Amino acid sequence: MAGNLEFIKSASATSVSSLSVTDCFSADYDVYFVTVKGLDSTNDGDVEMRFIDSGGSVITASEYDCAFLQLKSNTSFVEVSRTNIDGIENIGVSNADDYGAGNGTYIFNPNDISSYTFVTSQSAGWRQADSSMRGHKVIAVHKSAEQITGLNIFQESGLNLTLTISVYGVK
Amino acid sequence: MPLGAARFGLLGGVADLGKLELIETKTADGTATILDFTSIQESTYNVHFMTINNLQTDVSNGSSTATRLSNDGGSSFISSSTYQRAYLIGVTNGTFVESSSTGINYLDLTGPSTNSSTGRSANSYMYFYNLGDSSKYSFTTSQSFGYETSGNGWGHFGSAVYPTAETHNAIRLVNLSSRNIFATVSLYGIAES
Repeated sequence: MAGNLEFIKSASATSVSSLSVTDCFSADYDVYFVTVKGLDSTNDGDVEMRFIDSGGSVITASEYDCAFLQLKSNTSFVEVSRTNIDGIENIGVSNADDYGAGNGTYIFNPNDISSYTFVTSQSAGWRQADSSMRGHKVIAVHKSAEQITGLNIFQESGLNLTLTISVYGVK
Repeated sequence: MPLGAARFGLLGGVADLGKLELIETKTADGTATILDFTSIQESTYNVHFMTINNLQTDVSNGSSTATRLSNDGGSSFISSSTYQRAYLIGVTNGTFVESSSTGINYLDLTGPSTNSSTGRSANSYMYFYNLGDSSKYSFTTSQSFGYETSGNGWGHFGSAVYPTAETHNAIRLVNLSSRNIFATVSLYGIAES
């Protein structure tokens, strides 16, 4: 099935502080596509992602770098770059209106123990505070050559999220 | 793992083939200013993926082509200035431009202004989110590249929203200057199980 998208696994949860998809990366694929829908919360906020190591632990060490452009429908854009942080920032935004969001993220080489894990992500979301659209284009890396087996998504302020994560392999 | 879930579901585990599912491919042959998709299966797919290939118009003057949504199956398309979008434009002669609006009459551009010059076309892809979910806004993310009328490569990437929670069940490509268009456009659904 060259040139296809193959469903691997999904997870959904209501009002949780974080949600993991475990054991979704394997030797079957080098590239993965992840969609996140929902992202409803009790307030506006940025949504972040971390990876899960081969022991099943969420990696919270400061070994991520990322850079993103924040595209705002109501004002100037913002460029942000960060090194040695404990998660990948702004893969999306949550909102208090329960109007949802859209996210598509590609993950490269997570299963390769000799490679860093790379990420590109794009999203669109809604901000209740100023009734505006907020988009993000993100590049990121997990700077440790190790096997990554899953991912974890959470809201930066610790607010609970309602969301669904779907993981696909790219063939 | 901090869950505290009122509901938690973990599905799947075995790879299932073919989840980028072609809904329809349509060709604009230069005889109309619009191209409509009216059977988008919005109740089946939360995420839609659209590719737009070799978009041109039938005249030498350049013009832009954009997308609009329908909430009545394609009987009409929303053209009020109520969409919001933000995108970054990059031009091969060195200029980058931010473009944003909280009140435009289309969802997103399909690429640069194009005309009938041989080889100069717009090419792009878009993801549509939540079209069939009546409780959510409909969002897009997109990226394009093409050769614009003035003679430069022109790309854009961005995000957009129609900020009304309702079901959208048809998508229109429309030339904003009422020029006839040529293009090959494919719409896919991304299956979730």
